[in-house]
Amino acid sequence: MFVWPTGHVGMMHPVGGAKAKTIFEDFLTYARASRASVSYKDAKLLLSVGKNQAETRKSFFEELALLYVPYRSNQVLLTPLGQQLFDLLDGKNLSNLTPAIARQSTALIVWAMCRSQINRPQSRGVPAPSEADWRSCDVRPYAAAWMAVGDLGGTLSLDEFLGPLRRLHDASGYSNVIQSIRQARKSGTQLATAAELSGGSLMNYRIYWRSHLSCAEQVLQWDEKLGQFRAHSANWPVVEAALKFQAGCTGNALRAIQGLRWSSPDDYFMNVAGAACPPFLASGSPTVTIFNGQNLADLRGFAVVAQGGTYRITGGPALCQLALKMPCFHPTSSSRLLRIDAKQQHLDGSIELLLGLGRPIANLAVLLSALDSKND
Amino acid sequence: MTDGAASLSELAKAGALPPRDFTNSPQRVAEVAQQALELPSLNAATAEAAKAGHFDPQVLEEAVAALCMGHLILAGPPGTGKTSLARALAGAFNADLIVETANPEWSVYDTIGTQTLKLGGAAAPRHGLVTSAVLSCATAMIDQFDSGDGRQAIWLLIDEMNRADIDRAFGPLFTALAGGGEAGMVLDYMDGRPTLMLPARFRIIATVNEYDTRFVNAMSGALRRRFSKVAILPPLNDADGKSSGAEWKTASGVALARTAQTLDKAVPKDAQDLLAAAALPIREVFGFIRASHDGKVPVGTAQLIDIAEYLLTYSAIAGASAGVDVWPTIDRALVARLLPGLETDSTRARLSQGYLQQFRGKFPSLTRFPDRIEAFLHGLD
Repeated sequence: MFVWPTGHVGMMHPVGGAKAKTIFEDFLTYARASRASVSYKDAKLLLSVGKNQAETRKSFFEELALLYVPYRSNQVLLTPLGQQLFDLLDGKNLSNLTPAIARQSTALIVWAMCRSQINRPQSRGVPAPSEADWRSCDVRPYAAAWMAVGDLGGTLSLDEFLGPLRRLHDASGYSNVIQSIRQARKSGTQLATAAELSGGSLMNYRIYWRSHLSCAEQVLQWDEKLGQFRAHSANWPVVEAALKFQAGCTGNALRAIQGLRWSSPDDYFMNVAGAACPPFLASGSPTVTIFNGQNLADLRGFAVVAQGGTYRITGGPALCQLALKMPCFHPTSSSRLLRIDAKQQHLDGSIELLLGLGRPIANLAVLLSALDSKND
Repeated sequence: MTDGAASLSELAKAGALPPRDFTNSPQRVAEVAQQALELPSLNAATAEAAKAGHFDPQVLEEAVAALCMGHLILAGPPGTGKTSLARALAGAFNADLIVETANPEWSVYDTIGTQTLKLGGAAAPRHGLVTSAVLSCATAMIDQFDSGDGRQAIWLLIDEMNRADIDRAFGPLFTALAGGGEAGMVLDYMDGRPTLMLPARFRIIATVNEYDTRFVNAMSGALRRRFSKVAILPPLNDADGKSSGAEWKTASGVALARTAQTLDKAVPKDAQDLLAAAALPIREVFGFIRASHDGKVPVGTAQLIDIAEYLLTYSAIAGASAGVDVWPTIDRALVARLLPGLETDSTRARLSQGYLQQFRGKFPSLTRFPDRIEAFLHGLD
């Protein structure tokens, strides 16, 4: 029976506990080796673990499309996303990261996980799916699992995950899965088999999924007593923003959990799953604050590209709600408000705002104070 | 600031942003005053302005360049299209125009502002026409900043400015006009004597008629220095001595449209044929009258339109056609539509007896018009 495979290694995260931090440091080691053109064979020796575990970790980093070793090559290549994560944390003391860097790290890792597909080249995880299965499966497993958490009221039990969810093969079947879980919750029906929930050979599989789905406890927290995941209140908005981004302006849930086609391993790692995280998500504050009456949008969480008298901001569906002509504030333009002159959706689902110069700002300090009081 | 109170108007009230309405807080115009005028390209602006009539391209360039830098006086005889040109120039700069016609009674109370009594006897400030225009300009700027479209400014056209006692009416403007955005105009009639800054986008265009000296008040040197001045004269005659053929084409088109409006129907073909037959004689007469650059009478395009309109209307109601002699009708038209504007001291000073003799010799079919001019020159009218 087809079930989602995953790497048999714990989750990586720079602030997610000792184990997660160690695995994250291994990623940084591989990334440094890549930048220094150290071969894959030699890079493995630089890790804190033996050769086999080093290969397993490399496979997991490939699962997250942070780096990859092209087939029959001896070269570690960083994807654009991997470079983003490496550049954010290289040279920093992981024991003493600022909250902002920690938040941005979570955002990049969440982005990586949301983009990960069953249908991907090399390193397909455990249990190894048949070629027919991995080729035909169109699910993004982490995105689907996290969307289920949202759709099911912020919780997901291991029973629900191990039962119907991890068997989801076609993204189009997602609604039925959610429906069956809701019914099971009402009726008290157990969805996973006793074997799936007991110890034995499936123990490792469960442990790793628990670690991965929770993103080392950074986006979901495991309640041992209830046997379920619960959304992490501080970081969950980042997951929601990433899913909304993938769903596009129309909020198409299927689009959020459905994998994309790729033409070659390079295409997958460089353009599909390993594509750079949009700045608004990478900021870790991908939200738009709108003052009462929809009169002013606070876009401080977004990166802006200024060119001449115009400004561009790219973000996710949070930007869909902003109306044309709406005045906005971004610190790049500290003497004038900005105004949304055009809005377009790109093929990757991102929303681009074209902003012109709006009303002058008479007193920046007063404006910032008003914005901050609104955000409190 | 509490939740729900931070709309733009609340932010304006808190001082973070300029307000949209400056009526009660004219000093806050300073918050937008520095925003520069968006300048059009010289070519685009002169092309736009040229749509207002027949003007020397070099004159249009001078006017556009002057407005890029500041305020403008358009000086010239009546009918040369100064007001139309002012409107077109404002349009070329994407500005709206408030038009005020000057009168000799104006004082600072009319132009800058004064106090007025409200019901119940309390005093309230009332902005004058210049102050109101400045405040409207600031509001237009806010609207354009907020919407990204619309006019970038509102300008003030003071038509026939030298009819007013200029220094008495505009004195307090001097400081503000000279300030280049750094000085302002103190509004004495308001509590706190607020200072009104002139937005960098604000312009005053003044037209002055330097021909009709009956109404001309001298502008002081102080005020003149604050304006660029461009002379608007009638179009130059063609090489054959007739008035401009291109001007006639435009003028006759305008006259046709106006006559159709007057008649409330299309102008009859016979009338149009008569106008076509009268074209060369009329251009010849205007060319002669206008040989103005050597001291003759500089009548404008407006008068040409008036003559053409008279011919069309007369022909339409009298049933005249191209087959008839056009000269008597032209003579009648000149008396009815051109003469009144010429009965000024300026005409008396410019025309000599010799000029009239030349006129009679060149246009023997015209009798009433030169007779009336002669009577006027000798005080017999």
